[in-house]
Amino acid sequence: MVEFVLPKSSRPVEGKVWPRPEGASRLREFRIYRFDPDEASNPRIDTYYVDLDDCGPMVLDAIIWIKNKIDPTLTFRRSCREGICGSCAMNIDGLNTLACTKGMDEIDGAIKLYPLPHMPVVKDLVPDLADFYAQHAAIEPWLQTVTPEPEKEWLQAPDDRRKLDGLYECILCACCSTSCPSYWWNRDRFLGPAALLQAYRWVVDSRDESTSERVAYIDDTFRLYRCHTILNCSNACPKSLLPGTAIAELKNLAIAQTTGE
Amino acid sequence: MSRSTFQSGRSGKGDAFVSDRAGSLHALAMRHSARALAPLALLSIWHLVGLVGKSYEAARAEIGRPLPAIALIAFIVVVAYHARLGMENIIEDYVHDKSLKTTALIVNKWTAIAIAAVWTLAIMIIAAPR
Amino acid sequence: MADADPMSESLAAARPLSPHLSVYKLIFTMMMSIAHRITGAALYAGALLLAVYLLGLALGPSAFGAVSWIVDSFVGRLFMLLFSWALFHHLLGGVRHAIWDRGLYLDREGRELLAKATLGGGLVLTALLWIASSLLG
Repeated sequence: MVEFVLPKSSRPVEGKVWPRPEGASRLREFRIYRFDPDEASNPRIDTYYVDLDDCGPMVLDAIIWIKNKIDPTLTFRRSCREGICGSCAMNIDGLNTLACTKGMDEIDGAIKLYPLPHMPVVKDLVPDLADFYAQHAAIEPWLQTVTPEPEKEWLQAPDDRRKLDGLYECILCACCSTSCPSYWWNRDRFLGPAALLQAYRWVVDSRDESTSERVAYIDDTFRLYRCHTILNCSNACPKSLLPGTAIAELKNLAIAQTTGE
Repeated sequence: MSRSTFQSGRSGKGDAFVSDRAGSLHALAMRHSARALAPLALLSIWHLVGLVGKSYEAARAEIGRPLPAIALIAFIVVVAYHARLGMENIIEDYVHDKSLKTTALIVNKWTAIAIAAVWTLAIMIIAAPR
Repeated sequence: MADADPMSESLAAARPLSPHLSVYKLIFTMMMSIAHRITGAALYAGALLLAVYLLGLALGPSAFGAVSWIVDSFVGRLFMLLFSWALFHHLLGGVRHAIWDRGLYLDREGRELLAKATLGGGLVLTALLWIASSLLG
């Protein structure tokens, strides 16, 4: 039976309240999920106070400030700090997004930070993304052709290139897949919105010649059809992409291919 | 980095292998049955709500005539199919234990059939000319 | 991916699951989606209950006496009210899904609009049905 409630050992308990910075006039409270794999205990929620006059405006700026000035053990993924690498994806104030593009002024009250939902936690805000990457690999995200390779490039008309807009820009941050309740309950067999969006990206690429095989692969009760159009994915995407739309198109292609055969 | 638990089906092993195509047929059946149910449901709910506050004879008269009787029978037959598929989705989503799932799917199938059978039987008895 | 070593395998086994329902913001479209599922399941259960009622109605006055509460008592009328609301809500939800199946109204404004229309429409149709039924009965 699916667990709607977290297993006992996963339930976070109240944690430490870290000292306020001295002489700060503008403070912001942060409530952050912590888990230490070196300690056999439950995760906890720690409270920090960030000096807004001493750090940048984004949530990522704040947690880097905390790590530098208050608690060096706070652990999270980050890289580009400009919304293109996808590393700092986490649950902020109840919604999945990138910490580097989320302004602290967009949130009211204490800022609650949790790892991406229903994922195994490696440490603090770092989830294990092995399944997520395996799902991307499973849809075979590379050009597949039978026609012999041309001398130079595979040509593509501008109209065909436009079909990739809204699909190629995905940064694989995992905000969408981990916002999907179906993905929560069936991560072991459902591909999830990110992988399905990429599956559609390759299906719709005019240069690719294995369209029917790609559609046949995803046409499955679990791989594609655990999607019930909940649309948390389109709501979550920090790059404003619409995985729900891509999946709707995939379903129509799958139905057409299955019934047309 | 850890090993993934995702069953891609690409290795040819395990029961994730080979797309079952059932998903598309399921989805299509849902679309078709939903389309049929839209008008049938609107018609049926009128007569069902009409049963409220009615005595034995009045209730029999309400659904005993050919039009409500046929509409209600058509309604419940399509409902049974649509509801069965919908409940299958719910079972597949939440029940992962193999034997529990198999049992649930069987109970679901026969409950849906039973509902349709009882409605049809009852309505035909009520609508039968005296 | 290379096979994980025993050390990282056991570390992986000990990982907690990150919170989901307890932390995720319950946005309108998400609530409408679960309402679609709940109304569907409720209609299934309601149809089962109505099967008992119809059987009683078919079998004769004494059998009917035992089942008429399903539709006639205070609880029964409440059941019929909720059943009819669930039906309209689920029906309009189905229309919403049909629109989405065509690739329309999947953007932010579109989803919100359809969700509001489903919720509002369901309530309006339920009210209209019961008013009409009591007037024309």
